[in-house]
Amino acid sequence: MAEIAGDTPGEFILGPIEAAADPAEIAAFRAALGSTAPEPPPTYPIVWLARPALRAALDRALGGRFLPIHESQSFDYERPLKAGGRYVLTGVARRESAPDRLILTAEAQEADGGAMAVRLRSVLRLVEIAGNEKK
Amino acid sequence: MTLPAPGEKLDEIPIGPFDATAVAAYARASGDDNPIHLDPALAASVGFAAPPVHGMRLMAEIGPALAAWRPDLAIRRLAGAFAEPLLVGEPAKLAARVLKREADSVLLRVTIQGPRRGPCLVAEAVLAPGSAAA
Repeated sequence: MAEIAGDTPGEFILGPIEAAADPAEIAAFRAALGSTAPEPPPTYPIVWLARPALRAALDRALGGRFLPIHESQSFDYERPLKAGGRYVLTGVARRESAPDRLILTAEAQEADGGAMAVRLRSVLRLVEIAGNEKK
Repeated sequence: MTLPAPGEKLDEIPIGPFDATAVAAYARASGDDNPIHLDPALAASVGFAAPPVHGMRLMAEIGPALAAWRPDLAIRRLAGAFAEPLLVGEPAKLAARVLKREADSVLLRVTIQGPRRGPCLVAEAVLAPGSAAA
């Protein structure tokens, strides 16, 4: 994936990365929630933040001594996610201090045509844990 | 179709308790393998009697609750702040109330309350007529 430092210190541009709404992954996510609904659960896009390419970039942005604590999360949906759909995820991670936080904003657009599907914003508090590996 | 009016409430819904197996299943399915949710020793090192359930696992309870209440409405926005932890083995309750009605949408406040004084999750959801947005 492309990952370059932004114009602002402490800001990292993330992506674009491919973010398919994989039917098997959606099924596993639904199963973990005990959901029987046919459509992707509203919080399903959170799995994209765990994609190896995105995590690797976030890990580089964080450094190696932090336990991230999820403080808040938002999803703004522009159109239904389609199981089997292909999306492109782009975002920005911004590091803040006092308190130490990472704020990630991202958006997923349909790979075909570029229509906006969902916007995400995650706020992670970074807790320094000596001797423990971070997430 | 009539949109719900401010003040309208959902009946409280019991949530959990989540056991370690359920938390591990969510970690696998979501990719969020943060050890704070999976490692009792690490959780204890930061003062928790048991690992905290993923906040996102709690937020995931909101969609089905709102869909069961008003299947004719779809979520257009879901946003929440994670406050008190809900630890493995602890029960909680989901409550929701309509705060505001616009011409074509409603804003709800949704809370998930565990056994501690403060809520585990304070969220807002915007619903509008239509099929599921996500």
